[in-house]
Amino acid sequence: MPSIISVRDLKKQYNPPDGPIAVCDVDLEIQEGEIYSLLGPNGAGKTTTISMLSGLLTPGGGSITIGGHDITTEAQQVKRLIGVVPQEIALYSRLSARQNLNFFGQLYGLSGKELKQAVEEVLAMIDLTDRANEKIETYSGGMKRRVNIAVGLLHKPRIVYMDEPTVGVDPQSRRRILDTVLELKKQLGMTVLYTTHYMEEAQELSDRVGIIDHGEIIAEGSTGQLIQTVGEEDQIQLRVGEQEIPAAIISQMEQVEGVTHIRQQDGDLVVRATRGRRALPALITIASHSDVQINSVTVKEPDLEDVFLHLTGRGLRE
Amino acid sequence: MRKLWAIIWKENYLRFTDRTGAIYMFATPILLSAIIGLAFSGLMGAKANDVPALNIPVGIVNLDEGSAQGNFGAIFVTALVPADSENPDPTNPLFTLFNARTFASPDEAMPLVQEGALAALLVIPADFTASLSSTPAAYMAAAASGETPPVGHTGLVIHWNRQAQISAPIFRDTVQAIANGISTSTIAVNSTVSAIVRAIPSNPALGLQLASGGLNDTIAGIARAAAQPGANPILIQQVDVAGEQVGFDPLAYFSPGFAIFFMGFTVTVGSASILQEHRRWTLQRMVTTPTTNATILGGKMLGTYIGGLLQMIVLILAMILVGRILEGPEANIWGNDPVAIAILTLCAVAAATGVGIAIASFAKTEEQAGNLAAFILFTMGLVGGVFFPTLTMPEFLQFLPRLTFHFWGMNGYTELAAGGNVMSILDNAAALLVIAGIFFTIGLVQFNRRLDL
Ligand SMILES: Nc1ncnc2c1ncn2[C@@H]1O[C@H](COP(=O)(O)OP(=O)(O)OP(=O)(O)O)[C@@H](O)[C@H]1O
Ligand SMILES: [Mg+2]
Repeated sequence: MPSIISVRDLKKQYNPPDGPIAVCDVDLEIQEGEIYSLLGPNGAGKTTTISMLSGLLTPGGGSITIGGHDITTEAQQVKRLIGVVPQEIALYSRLSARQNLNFFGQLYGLSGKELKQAVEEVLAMIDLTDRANEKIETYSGGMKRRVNIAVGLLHKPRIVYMDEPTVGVDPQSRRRILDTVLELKKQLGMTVLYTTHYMEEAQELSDRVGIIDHGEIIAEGSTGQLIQTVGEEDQIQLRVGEQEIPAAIISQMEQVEGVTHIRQQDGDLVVRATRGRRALPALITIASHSDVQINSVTVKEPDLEDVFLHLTGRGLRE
Repeated sequence: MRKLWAIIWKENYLRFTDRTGAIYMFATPILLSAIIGLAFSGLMGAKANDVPALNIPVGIVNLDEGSAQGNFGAIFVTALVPADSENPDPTNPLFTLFNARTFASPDEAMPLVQEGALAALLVIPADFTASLSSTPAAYMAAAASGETPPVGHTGLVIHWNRQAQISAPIFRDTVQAIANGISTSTIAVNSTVSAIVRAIPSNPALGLQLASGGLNDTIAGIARAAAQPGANPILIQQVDVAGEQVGFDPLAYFSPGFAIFFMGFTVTVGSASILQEHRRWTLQRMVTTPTTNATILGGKMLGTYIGGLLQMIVLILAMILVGRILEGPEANIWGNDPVAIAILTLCAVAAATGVGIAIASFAKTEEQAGNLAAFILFTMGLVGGVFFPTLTMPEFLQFLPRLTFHFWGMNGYTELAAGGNVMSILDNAAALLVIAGIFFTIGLVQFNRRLDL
């Protein structure tokens, strides 16, 4: 089956020839009904990529085919297929939620009964029906985000792009947004291209994740596949506080089966070990024999954060 | 089409529901016109000692040959021209209001009016006095048949420079006041009586009639006729250099100016909203919908144009009301030709929108557009005559006003207020459309260059 989104060698440099290269040789193949996340830190090129895929920015090179239509020559056909949820709250703050939805609904080509029904449906989906007639400027950040999403879903597009839709919202709104995304896939079979710099979101939502950094996709696959690339190592954090840990004890711990690496960081002994849970009793025994006091213990399985760290040597939010 | 209307509707809904915006769009121009109208109507009706020292340059040509009763034309000269021109009596308000000179002939003075060195020129005809005193023969004939004898009619002509729209009318009103003094029934009757008396030696029958009181009815009839409103024997005809009759009304001058000036801001801010929408991503959101860029830009521009038009319509109606409150129920500061007003307004808003789009297209942010607009529109307004008549500018700069939509709009409205019709504003409409065309093109080319969002 051909991909619904097919991107080849996508490039973009702002203000050439000296401007920043925001996107560099990106390839994407996204299947219909898939949730695909672009995970990357600030400035990685996520918004630039989405903008080119929405027909907002002319690609600096490469090709984009969406639903079989080339974005440069058949922009209007592509736009009928896609719904875009920008990173910014792209709403008229002096209009109510319903007025915003009505306006953009008309631009999506809806009118009359169909428009009215679509507006009521998305309002129900984001649970804002009872406050729909209030001006956007009176809404909380989370409510604005939800309306921002609703606009992109009005015309029931086959494909939705969501650019960091949960930035700056409270945990409750965030949960609701994530549930909405999952429902779009499950109930409507929508294809979702989702960008985020929260690895938890990518991990929970996505069928596949593309890790993007400095405009390049540096790894791609399901969460499981990506984690395997860093190996099966768990991370054990032993909270020791201000205590001096003698080097002899560290080297003793390094001898424990499975342990690959130990470092001391911010009052923690951070131990990397394959099958960390098995190594744990031995580590604690060594500590107690040498009067090192352990205040708490956390065992963390590897996640996408570790993948990113492994690939770039930096954290996602640095 | 539906999408276009959706954008136009949204534009204007946002514009007209903005309270601060409404103050700028409506309250400020209406208040300013009202205040200036009041100030000027105070000046026009001022008591003599309130008259400011304007030193309006005027000329008088007294061709009046007079009659045995004297020379009524000379009354104007005495009233307006100080006997000692080096040291005019400072307590005489007319000498500070005007700087009046006499000329031997109209030919000598007219060029000065044309070039603006004189704001106005009063020409008193040769038969001025003579025609004010009817010939005894006419009275005799009338008396014999028992009819009301005819009252002589004569005319004064004021030539004025069309651009001296404020000062020339002050002169006209002053001349009118002096003429009223001359033409009161007393003077008319006296001069007629004295004409009759002078005729007695050559006509003894007349003397007998007068002595027996047989002419009393005749004289009473003259007095009645002269005192009737509209029967003022001195007609003052005002002629501007283009040969049209023009009246002046401060509201009719300033109201259109302020309306156009503030409408200019509305359409510029409206055009600059495209930058705001870009910053807030609502523009990008529109572009991601299946709506062509042409529809989006067209909707925004048409929406802006319609907004400016709505503002003008409201201001025109409101200022008609203000005019009637300040100047009486017949005042009609926009003239009486709705079709011409409509054409001129459509063209003026088009020109302003063109300029607005051009300004917005060169700005990077709304703030920049705002600053640019304030600078450009204030300069244009200043040069275009919004705040004071363009006549005060030196001649070699007289082309400057003609580069602004303010000038062409105001000029058109003043012509309509003075009784002009569609024909008299065709040149204004054409000039405005040219301005619209040039600036729209600049704006579109520039926006197109930057269209990569
Ligand atoms: N209009 C622009 N002009 C010049 N450079 C730009 C422009 N927009 C983005 N960039 C640069 O391009 C790079 C990629 O930016 P982009 O907005 O695509 O990143 P992002 O992944 O969406 O980041 P974030 O998570 O902060 O939204 C950055 O270095 C940014 O500074
Ligand atoms: Mg971004």
